[in-house]
Parts: sequence; structure tokens; C-alpha cells
Amino acid sequence: MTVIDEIAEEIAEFEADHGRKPVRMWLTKRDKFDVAKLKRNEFSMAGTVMQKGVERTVKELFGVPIASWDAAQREYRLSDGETAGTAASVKARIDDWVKRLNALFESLDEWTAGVAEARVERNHMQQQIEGLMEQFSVKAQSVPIFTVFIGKNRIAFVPSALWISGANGRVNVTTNYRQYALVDLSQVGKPSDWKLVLASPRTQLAPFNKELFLKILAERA
Amino acid sequence: MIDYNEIHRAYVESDAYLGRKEADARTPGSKTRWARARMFNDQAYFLMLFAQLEQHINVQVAKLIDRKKALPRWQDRRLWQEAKSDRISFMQKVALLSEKGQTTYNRMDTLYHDFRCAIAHGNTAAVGPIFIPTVAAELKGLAAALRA
Repeated sequence: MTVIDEIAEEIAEFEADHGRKPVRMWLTKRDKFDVAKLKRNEFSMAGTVMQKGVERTVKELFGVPIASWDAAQREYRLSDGETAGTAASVKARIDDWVKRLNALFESLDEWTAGVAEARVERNHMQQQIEGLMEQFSVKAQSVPIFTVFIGKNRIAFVPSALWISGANGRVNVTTNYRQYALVDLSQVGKPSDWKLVLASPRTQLAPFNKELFLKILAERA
Repeated sequence: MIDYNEIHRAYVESDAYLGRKEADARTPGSKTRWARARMFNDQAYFLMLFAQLEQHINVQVAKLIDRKKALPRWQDRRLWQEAKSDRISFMQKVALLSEKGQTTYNRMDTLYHDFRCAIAHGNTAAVGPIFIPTVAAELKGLAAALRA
């Protein structure tokens, strides 16, 4: 059995197990073609490989792209984690993040308007470099931050991370007394669903609305 | 039994501490260091929750094997007679409790390979931060679905 036959069989097994083909496959150095060992019926494929390159030929053969040739053993995955996306999709996610943050801070602006002695400061900062940005060499963009001052109290909303498994972005909410995490639980491309994380066992995730925002503003130690 | 409320409270407290450090950091380098510490904290909690789910799966598979071994008809129990739960790989155990190719099995496959194994093998940067309350709720749902 050749490497090609083995891969074809393993992909068919994977498809039978998971109901769909793997997104990518990780091959080993041993899987590389050895032209000297090709069988007669594989000569034509060797020609295609010379013409189109091995990556393209393998993808055409199996419909599954190669993620790497350095795996310790062959692996097939349903999702491809860190290799998902392109530089353009990473940039698009960041643009969407900035839009969602601006929309959130617009709401905070409106909610603060009715609060006596409250002063709002809106600034920008460079976002933190995250894994996918590093992988696709996408530069950090400027992201908005929102701060409310009431007397000596200060409440700052500072974006923390966009790529976080189980959420679509996290914002640090820092008051003089406490630290909260505000997370967007929306699916990518859907309207925001901001929730404040609480330690309470009864309400672990509270919908972030005007009432809760005003409660945090009025908070004391 | 998994006490998700206790774990949630401990996670929120530790995440808030690291979040405060991240928020107070004055230099980008220091901010990144605290953000990484926060990510490691997420991943440590994930591993703890996943280990508890693994334990639940081990118990369920042992129960299943015991039940099948006790079937009255030899024709029904013969396939199970030599089954030993400590010799079955993790994903094979999952396959004994859920149908391959269906949502539960596929999600377990992703959580096991792309999260649990990736973290355990030191590929922490690829996994990144994890929002534990959502993932804990998901693991709780999977535990309920994976029964003998």
C-alpha cells in the first residue's frame, strides 16, 4: 500500500466517523514522495506533482489541504484552530470588534447622560497583539476606551482580548474597588450580546444593561 | 460530582485579580505579560474541568461495560467479555457513549484534540484565552449527554 492509498483510506475512515472530511491534514516527513520508489501507475501523478506542486496535487486528490509536513504522526482535524482564516479575515474581525466597541460605548454615553456630576472621557489605545494577529502579521489597530468619572470614582472600560474561546471579545471593567469582565457572547457576525461576569452562583452572567451599568457607577467598596 | 459553582467563583476571583493587574500595567510589555498570565489561568481551569469530565466518562464507560458483561445471553455479552476500560483510548470511550459523526462526538473530538491535548502538549498560544463560564456550561451539557 502506498502513502497515497493510506491517506485515502484514513480520510475515508475519518469521514465515516465524523460525517465530513477533515479541514486539514498534518503529514510527516516520511510521507513525502520518493520519485525513485513510484509505481508504474503513479508516474502520471508524478508528472502532475512536477507541474502543479505537491500541495495542490494532494488537495485535488483528496479535497483536504496539507497544514504541515512536520507532524510526528499523520493527523486529521475537524477544525484547524490557529491556522483558520487569512490576514484579510483577521483584519475584518478586528474592524468588527472596533464597531461593536463603539456601539457599546455609544450606549454607555447615553446611559451616563442622565447621571449628575458624571464626566465621560473617550480615548483610544493600541490593541494587544493576539495569536492570530501575530500569525498573519496583522498590525495592532487603535481601539476605543471609555472612562466615566464621578467625583473620586473612576470606571474604565478597556478592551482586553478579541479571540477568546467561548466569547466574541472581552472588555476589562475597572472601578476603584473591583474588577469585572464584560464579554460579548454573540456569534461572529451577529448583534452583540454583552454580559457582565459575576461571582454569584445564582447569576453568573448578567445581561449588561442601563440598570446594571448605573449600579456599577454607584458602587462602593 | 463536579461543583461548577465553586469553580466558577474561584475562576471569577482569580481572573479579576489578573484582569486588574493587566488593566493597571503601565507598559505594553507588562500588559502582554499579565494577559498571558490570564490566558494560562483560563487554560488551567479548562484542564481541571476537562479532567473532571474525563473522570465522568471513565465511570460511565466502566458502568456500561459492567452492564454489558452481566447480560444473560452469552451471544449478547461475548463482545464485552474481554473489554477493559483502562485499555480503551479516550475518544473510543467517547464513541461508546455517543454516536460517531454526531454533534456530541464531534464537539468532544474538537475539545479533546484542539484544546485539552494542545494545552497539555504546550501549544498554549494556539489555544489562546478561554472564557471559562461558557465552556464550563458546555462541558456540563456534554457530561449530561455522555451516559452509559
